[in-house]
Amino acid sequence: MRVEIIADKCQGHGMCNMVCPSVFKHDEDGFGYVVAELAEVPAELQDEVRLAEVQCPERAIVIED
Amino acid sequence: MSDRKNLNRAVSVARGYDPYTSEWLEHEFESYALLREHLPVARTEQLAYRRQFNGGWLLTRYDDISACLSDTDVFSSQSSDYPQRPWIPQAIDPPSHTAYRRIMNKWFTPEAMTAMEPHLWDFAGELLDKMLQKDEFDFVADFADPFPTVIFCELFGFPLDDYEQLMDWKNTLMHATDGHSAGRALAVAKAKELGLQTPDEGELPSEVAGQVYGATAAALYEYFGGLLEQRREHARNDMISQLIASEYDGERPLTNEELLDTLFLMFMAGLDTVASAMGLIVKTFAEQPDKRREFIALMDDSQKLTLAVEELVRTHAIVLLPRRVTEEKEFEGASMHAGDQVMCPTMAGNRDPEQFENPDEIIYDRVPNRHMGFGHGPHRCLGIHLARRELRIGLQLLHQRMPDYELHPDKKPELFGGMKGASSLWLRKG
Repeated sequence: MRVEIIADKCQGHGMCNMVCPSVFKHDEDGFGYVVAELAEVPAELQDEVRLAEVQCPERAIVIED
Repeated sequence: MSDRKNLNRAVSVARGYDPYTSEWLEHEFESYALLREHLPVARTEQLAYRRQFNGGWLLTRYDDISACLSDTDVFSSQSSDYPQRPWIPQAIDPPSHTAYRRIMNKWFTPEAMTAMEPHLWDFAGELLDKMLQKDEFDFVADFADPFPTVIFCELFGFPLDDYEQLMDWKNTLMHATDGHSAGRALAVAKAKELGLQTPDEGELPSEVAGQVYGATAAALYEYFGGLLEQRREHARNDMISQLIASEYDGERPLTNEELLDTLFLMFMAGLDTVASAMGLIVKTFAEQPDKRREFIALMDDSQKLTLAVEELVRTHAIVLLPRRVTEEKEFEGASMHAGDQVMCPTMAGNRDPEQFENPDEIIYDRVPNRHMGFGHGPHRCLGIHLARRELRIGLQLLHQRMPDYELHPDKKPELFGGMKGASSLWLRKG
């Protein structure tokens, strides 16, 4: 599983960071990004990443299985 | 009832739509549901009249509200008249909006707000200790108001000695005509001071309210001017000082007007929102003990609490977001004209059954839950990460200390419309 945040869509609601803080962080300007080493998502974090994807109010998170 | 009659009812509801009254709250969800089903892009008259616009539209579908709030070129945030100048950054459109937000976003990151959590716990505990010495109390006055408001004053550097004065200004500016009795009383007192006639009961005439509003805003601008002067001489570790030291797009310092307009907006946006949401949520918990017990049973599980707080914000959204149409626009078949106002009630979008199954039900583990309780698009709530933590900590600690309570049998809750909330919520320990 690969995960990415579409920068144009992210408005920095931070839901992803709330439900999966190890994969999703915020930059200085308040927008989300995926921690590079975890963009290929380890098995134990995949449920949390899926939860982040469906909770994102701006639909900015894209998962490729 | 026939569809034709329902359509006629929807047209009538839209025509008289005025969410800035406490009466509207008595039937708001039924009314939004009726409109969403029969007239999702509705023409309104009352609202436009009150706000001096050419015409008004009212959206109630999640997708329509989301589209409107995301398209900042057609739907401008500079939507109503302002006491001096448009507020920064709320009433400013991109690209300037982006530059202003960039200054402030970094102060409100999740990391920065997480660092405040120990203080939030301590202060919430202090307030609850005091409140719970009594068997009955006004939860709004004793907790929902002071908890986020004092934290906000500390962050920005508004002197806590001025707390009462700041609350009075806020209530005069925001609650003169929405059913908030203290707000009305303050506005009447101010009107008398200005030599204006006021009725003994009922809503203040809009020209009186307008003058009161202008005079109060002027007093607040003067107060902020004084604080800015003090901080220019002696910077402190607060956001007023940081704002003075900030640069617009890395090019120039903010002008005095920009600083004032930003402080004014922060004041208006920061003082009421968490307090209102918290008051309404606890009112629901007092009225629906089953929902309260369900919350208490899950609140020690961090992930479950995260989802539960979002669901409470979805079902208790307080924010009405007006926008101004900038050009001729065909929107879902409706012909909108430049200058029209479009109202986006987040509480209506949040209960769209196409987006949320059983929308009126609180389902703590609701997934997906892409609610718009903190707004949507570039203007989403700046203080979102602080607001979430205040709600989380406030609700958790309150229910650890007081799992059982009920509404006071004689003192009914007082609600206000607009950016709605509870102005008093008397509770009795269970």
